[in-house]
Amino acid sequence: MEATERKTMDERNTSMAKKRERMNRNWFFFFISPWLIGFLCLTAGPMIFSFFMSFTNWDLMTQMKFIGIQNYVNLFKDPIFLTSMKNTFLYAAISVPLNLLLSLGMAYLLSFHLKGMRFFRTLYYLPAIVPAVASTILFTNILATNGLLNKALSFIGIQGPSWLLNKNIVLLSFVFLAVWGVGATMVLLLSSINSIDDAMYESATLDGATRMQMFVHITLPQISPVIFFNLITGIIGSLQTFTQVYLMTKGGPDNASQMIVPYLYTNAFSYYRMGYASAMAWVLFFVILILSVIVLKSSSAWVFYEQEVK
Amino acid sequence: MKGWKKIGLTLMVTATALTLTACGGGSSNTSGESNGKVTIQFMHWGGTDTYKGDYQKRIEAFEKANPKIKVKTITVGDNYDTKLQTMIAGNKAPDVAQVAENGTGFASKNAFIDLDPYIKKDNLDMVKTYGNASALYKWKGKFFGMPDRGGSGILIYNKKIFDKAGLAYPNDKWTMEDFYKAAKKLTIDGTGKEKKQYGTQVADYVLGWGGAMMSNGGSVINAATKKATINSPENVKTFEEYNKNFKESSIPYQVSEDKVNRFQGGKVAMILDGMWQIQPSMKLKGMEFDIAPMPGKYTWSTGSALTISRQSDKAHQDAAWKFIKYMGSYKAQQILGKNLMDCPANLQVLDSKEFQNQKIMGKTVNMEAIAENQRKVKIDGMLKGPWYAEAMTETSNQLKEMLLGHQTPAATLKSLQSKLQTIVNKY
Repeated sequence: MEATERKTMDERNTSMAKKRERMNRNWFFFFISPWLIGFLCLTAGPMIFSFFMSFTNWDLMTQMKFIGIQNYVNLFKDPIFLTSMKNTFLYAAISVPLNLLLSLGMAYLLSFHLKGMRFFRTLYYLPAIVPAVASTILFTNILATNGLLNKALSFIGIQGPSWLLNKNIVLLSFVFLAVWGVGATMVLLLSSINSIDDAMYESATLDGATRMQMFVHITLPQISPVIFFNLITGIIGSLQTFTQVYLMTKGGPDNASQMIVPYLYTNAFSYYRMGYASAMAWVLFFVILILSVIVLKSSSAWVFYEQEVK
Repeated sequence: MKGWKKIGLTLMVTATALTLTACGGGSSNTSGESNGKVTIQFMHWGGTDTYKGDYQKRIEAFEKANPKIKVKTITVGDNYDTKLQTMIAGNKAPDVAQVAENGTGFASKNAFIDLDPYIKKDNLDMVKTYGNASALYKWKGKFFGMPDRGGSGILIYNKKIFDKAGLAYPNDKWTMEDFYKAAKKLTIDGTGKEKKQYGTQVADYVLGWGGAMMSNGGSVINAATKKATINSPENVKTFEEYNKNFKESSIPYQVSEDKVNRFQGGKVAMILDGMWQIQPSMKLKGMEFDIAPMPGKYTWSTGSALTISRQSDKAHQDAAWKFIKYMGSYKAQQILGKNLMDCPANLQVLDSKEFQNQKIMGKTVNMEAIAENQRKVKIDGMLKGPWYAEAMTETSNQLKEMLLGHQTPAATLKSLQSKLQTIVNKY
């Protein structure tokens, strides 16, 4: 008797649990649906379409024609595309590590509890809230031959070059611009440094650890997830650079600062080559995917999460 | 598991449907009313000033003369080509669209109707009325655009600088050589990097070099044979001279980077620019200037025309034709000429006393120069094909490298020759 009763109770419990699970699932989909619909409609849909487009010669206005992998073949024969690939990678290779190192150093310095630190924190973060368009226009004036930077250099007896007119150094201008906006990365690192438990430093001090040792063995591992996040977003962001190039140099002089996304844009909207531009976008997509996977795979070796037991 | 599948499937279907319908949209362009009235859409680039200066009064006059047609204007501030392109792709192209050098690109994609039947029916003589500049709006031998804004360049010079140097003013007989000589004489060295006074301000902009090149018998592209023709002995000579003049008498890029208008500041003797420079210069206190035709036998043009969309129905196309024909007519072009924002395309207007003798803020300038200059317009093959945007970008890039002193004129033309040929071959 008892046994059967328990059985029905169990059955009821499991069916209730199932019901609750179903309810939860429904709510899950209900709440996630705005994003899901947005993603499917505004991202996945166009992505699938652009993948299809990359095998056609579509110009937006006339009938599209399937041309197989011709766009991809042409890409690797297009000297301007190859130059823009080279420029984009070079820019990313310089700006991403530099940005990370600088923001890390700054975040560390700004984490000290000194008088007036709030002022400095605001000061260094300020450039990050200036919109890219505004800061780019500002830098066009700063980097002009007779601009602020060269005027400042002339005070210490250095004759500055024409940053935006010289093929060999024009990419550096974009690095300056990236470094100027270092505050965005810095603020994330700073908050992460501040959230480290003081007890760790205290016990390390008792053990006689130096500041350097504490930085390397406590601070860095503790904030490694944030460094990792910034590395990934930094790589993606720099490979997709557009506004700066479009506004500051239009890729010039002689394509020396041309990058993938502005060149893609020009092809799509000035030369009416939607198919070709789509192929470019997909090449860029796979490059970013591969790099991201590499960084992700490597992360287990250097990113430390608190719940992990090592 | 079943429930999950159902929800997932529903979402997928909904989203796909949304992608295909809501996100895409698309309805045809019919705004005809039942009472016989037709509303046509007209799209142009620029801002409110452009609309007021170039179009508003003419449109009002047109609507008064044609009470059954209403014109709805769309002013596009930025990315005009992209906007037009997207509208065409969405089957929502405006009935009438302004085009310039970008016109051939659109025409080659079959965006506009062929105007020849209308032109024939109404017995218009395009070349007589609009001169050689009209050749810019032809694709495969047929007109796709009604010339509207002439846009040919003019030589604007600072009279005070010429007087001070005791030099004769530029005139309609001037060759490029005369121009270079005067520019050199009017350049005064300064103490620093920047000169005290510059003879001229030319750079890689085509209004500067285009006329010089064509006057010497050179060309960029032969549209008929689809061959790049830029690397010719004539052009090597032209660009060597151009480059020399740039170094001696023009504002270098390193200085002009700050975008300060040194002509208006009284530091440049001559500029090769458009008619739109007259009014702002007039407003400057102490500035005494006049205009002359561009030096040389031929000149480049940056005019614009009005086109009719292939997507519009017959009623709208007919109304649109009435509209663009009116806009290019003597009466409407006189109105355009009085606003001085851009040069009228109609040669009869440019030749008329009404246009030439008009006072600008109480003063007069040599407006005859504009008619003379418009007659000098020659259309290079570069403008006659859909390759224009790409070819011009590359040409400007290379010429800039030459003017910056990074490569010789001969090397520039040699590399341009193969680059332009590659570009033309793509089309």
